[in-house]
Amino acid sequence: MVSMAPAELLQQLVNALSLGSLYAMLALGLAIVFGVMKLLNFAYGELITVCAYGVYVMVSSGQSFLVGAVVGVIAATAVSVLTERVAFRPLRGAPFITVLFSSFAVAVIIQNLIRQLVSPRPRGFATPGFLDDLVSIGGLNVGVLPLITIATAVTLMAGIVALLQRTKVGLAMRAAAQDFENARLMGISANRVILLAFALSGFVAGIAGVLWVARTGAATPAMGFVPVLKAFVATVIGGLGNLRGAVLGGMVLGVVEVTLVVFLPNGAAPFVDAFALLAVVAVLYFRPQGLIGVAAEVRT
Amino acid sequence: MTAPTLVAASVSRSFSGVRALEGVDLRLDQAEILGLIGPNGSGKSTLVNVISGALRPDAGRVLLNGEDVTGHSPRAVARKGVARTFQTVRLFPSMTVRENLHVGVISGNGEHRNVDGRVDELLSFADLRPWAHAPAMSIPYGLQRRVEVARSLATRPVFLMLDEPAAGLNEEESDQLLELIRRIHDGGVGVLVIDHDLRLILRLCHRVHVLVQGRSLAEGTPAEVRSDPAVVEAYIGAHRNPPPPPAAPGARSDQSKTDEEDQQP
Amino acid sequence: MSGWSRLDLLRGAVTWVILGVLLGALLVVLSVAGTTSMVRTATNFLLLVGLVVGVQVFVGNSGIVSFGHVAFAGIGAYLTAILTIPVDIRETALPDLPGLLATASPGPVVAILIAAVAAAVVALILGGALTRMDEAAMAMATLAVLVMGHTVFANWETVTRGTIGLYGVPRSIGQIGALAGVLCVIASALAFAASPTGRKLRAVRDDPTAGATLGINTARVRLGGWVVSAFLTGLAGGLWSQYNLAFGPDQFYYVDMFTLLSMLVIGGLGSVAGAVVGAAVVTLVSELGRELEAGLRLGGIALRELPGAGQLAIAVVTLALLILRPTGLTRGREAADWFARRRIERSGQVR
Repeated sequence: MVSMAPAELLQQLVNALSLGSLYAMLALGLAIVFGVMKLLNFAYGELITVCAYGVYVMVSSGQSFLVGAVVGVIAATAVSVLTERVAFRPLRGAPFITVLFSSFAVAVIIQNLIRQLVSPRPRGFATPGFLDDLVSIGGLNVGVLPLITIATAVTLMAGIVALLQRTKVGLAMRAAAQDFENARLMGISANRVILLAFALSGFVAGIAGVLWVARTGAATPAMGFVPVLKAFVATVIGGLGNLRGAVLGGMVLGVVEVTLVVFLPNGAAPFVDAFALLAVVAVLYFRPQGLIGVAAEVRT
Repeated sequence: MTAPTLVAASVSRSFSGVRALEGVDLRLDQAEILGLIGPNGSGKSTLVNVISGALRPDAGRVLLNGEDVTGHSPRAVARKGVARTFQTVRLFPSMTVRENLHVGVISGNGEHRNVDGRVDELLSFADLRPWAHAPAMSIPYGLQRRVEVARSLATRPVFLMLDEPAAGLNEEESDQLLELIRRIHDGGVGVLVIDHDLRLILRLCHRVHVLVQGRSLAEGTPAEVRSDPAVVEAYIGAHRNPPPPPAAPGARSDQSKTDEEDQQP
Repeated sequence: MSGWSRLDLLRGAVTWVILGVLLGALLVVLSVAGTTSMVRTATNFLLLVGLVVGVQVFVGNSGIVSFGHVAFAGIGAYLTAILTIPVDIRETALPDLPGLLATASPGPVVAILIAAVAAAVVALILGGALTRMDEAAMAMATLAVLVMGHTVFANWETVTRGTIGLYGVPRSIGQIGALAGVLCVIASALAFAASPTGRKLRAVRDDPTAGATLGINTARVRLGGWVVSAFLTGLAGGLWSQYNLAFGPDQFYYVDMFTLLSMLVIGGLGSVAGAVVGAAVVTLVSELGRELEAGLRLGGIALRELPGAGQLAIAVVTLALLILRPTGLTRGREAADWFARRRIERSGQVR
């Protein structure tokens, strides 16, 4: 085991929180749609890709990263809503596996459209220099990007909580998540709620996408697979169907990954993902419903 | 050796603060058909769910032949010989009638020899031969219900709980169902029947247990329960007696006595 | 036999004969009247059918999507390859292979069986956890299987040569061998479907609550399907390696998993015939797509290359088919049912 100086330990802690925040945001976007529609949207990962390409297109044509970020978020939100309209609405009521698989097909379509319309090759771009700087807090050096990531996550989640708890729109979404049929009977428009869920999901994906791409500085057509995988795993760890679970799951996954990277011998580095997943499966063996999932009331 | 019994002892269960069941005691003997009645929302289905293991009670116990099976999974309870059906028929939609019964036969305890023969027996027993190869969802609802009941028999249960088996059935189908239940009971199965069709309950059951708002109100023979003023007050409603049913084929001679009682104020 | 229904066995046998005749006829026609390249495509198609059918055994009978089955195909392919690559080439390519793996040469049939068993063992270990989860969680946990498998294939260099991949596998089967192997896989798949476990698994797929009420152990029947499916998929992967001779870890990742799943979903999950039909449709579409990718020639003018067009075509067709026929082209009915239904309707038994 590596023994670390307190400063380094805290730095790693910040890294863990930062990665956890990123994963938490990813998971949140996925869980929002699942909560309302019981749909696991594989195409969610492509929203990250779309956002990344939005940033790339802006930055490579001379705009600032911030402009790129705004465009990226808008693009992700728009594409999310578009997929609902075009692909998922006709499939409402279809069996779970059909819809899940259709979302996979949508993901492949978006990915290959990007290959056609932009380029099959990775595209790099410059990210703002200050993101790589270190900031001194209480005598410790902490990276700017990790701090921004954590701060963004906290703000975003506070915003979403406010939206869900205090607005009519949010109330409608919560009602639909609890009991879709009853919510419709009470006059809540199914189409509107679902549309909003997809829009919100796209918005969150956009924000997470900007932060993701700020870390890597590149956009590739196939990049969506990793984020959606993280999001899926995080929601399962936390417990399908509740937003708190998704956030918790994301944090846990991020912390586990950073811990493994720090403590595993160097040769095992490429296996970090595999080990993290193995740990997840082990957790699920003992708690199939996830950490704060609710075990089904009516049992089999 | 004592005869098999299925007992719910002081069972209580709430849902988000609403008391669905409170201190309910119920006992089913293998030798009888027990009716369970009560107004909508009185907790009948909840009680069956607790007994079958689908729900855990907040308090109280479920005892099968003296053995505590409280909180055991529905699968475990089924394996011990307690079968049940649901308010809405739950057949396996991708399968035919025969295949549905086949699942029942291979899911029970014990040796599975001559499975086809057992399925044929069940088809005959429940008068389902003509529809053996029909997709389960393509036959009339009354027949679907018969299939579900026959399927629950396939596991050779000692107790069978039927949750509103006559719901959605017309009169002819109800009568056929009643005959089937009688034959099942004659074969040595203790039967619990929940239903709103009082005609069915009163003709079929040896004893009747009345639940109102989660509490046991009365228990006794059909005649006793029918004339219990508390029951009449809470459930049947003195001014809303259904008109006496026409004598059904094969109805027992008790029927005429029931008609006379109807005339009382 | 204990618990088996004669009718189910008959159904399986008839279906096997129908599929065998169709696939055999395809091969015969192409061997006689087609080009070598067509025969090659047909052989690859057959091997693909083996893989899809292997996946169908789990996904179709349980109704739970698995994203991880390519990992089992990979175990089958890699282990078979390692055991069949001639020892001298093995020494050069994989100098650090442990003991038996470095020297054993059991021949292709035994190698394939060993590899299939290995896949089944891995499935058993992981399945213990997976089958206890609810459907949605299990589907996502299979994503974990996918990634774990790929990570191992791509990084365990002493055994797999990592991202470079393996080469030097001798071609021990041709189109006949492929047909024979695939017919074995299909027979096993149909046998499983007809078995009590298969029947109970489908019951749980249809209605887990009703199944529990009858005493069915949901986790156990799911595990049964999962392990048998892993065995068959591993076997198909082993077969595949004996024809394709060289491959790398990316052959067993999500792109190919998507292709396999799309075949199932298009053809109809619930039946082996559906798997075959789906494989045929997707193969046709992707062959067309491949033409597109190479660039069309219209009146002598070559249009520009369209990368990813093949994939795009499959995905679009998949989505369209799913919207139009959510239960797939065969709607989950087996080949034998097509005849049976006619007989029943004619004899007036169905109202």
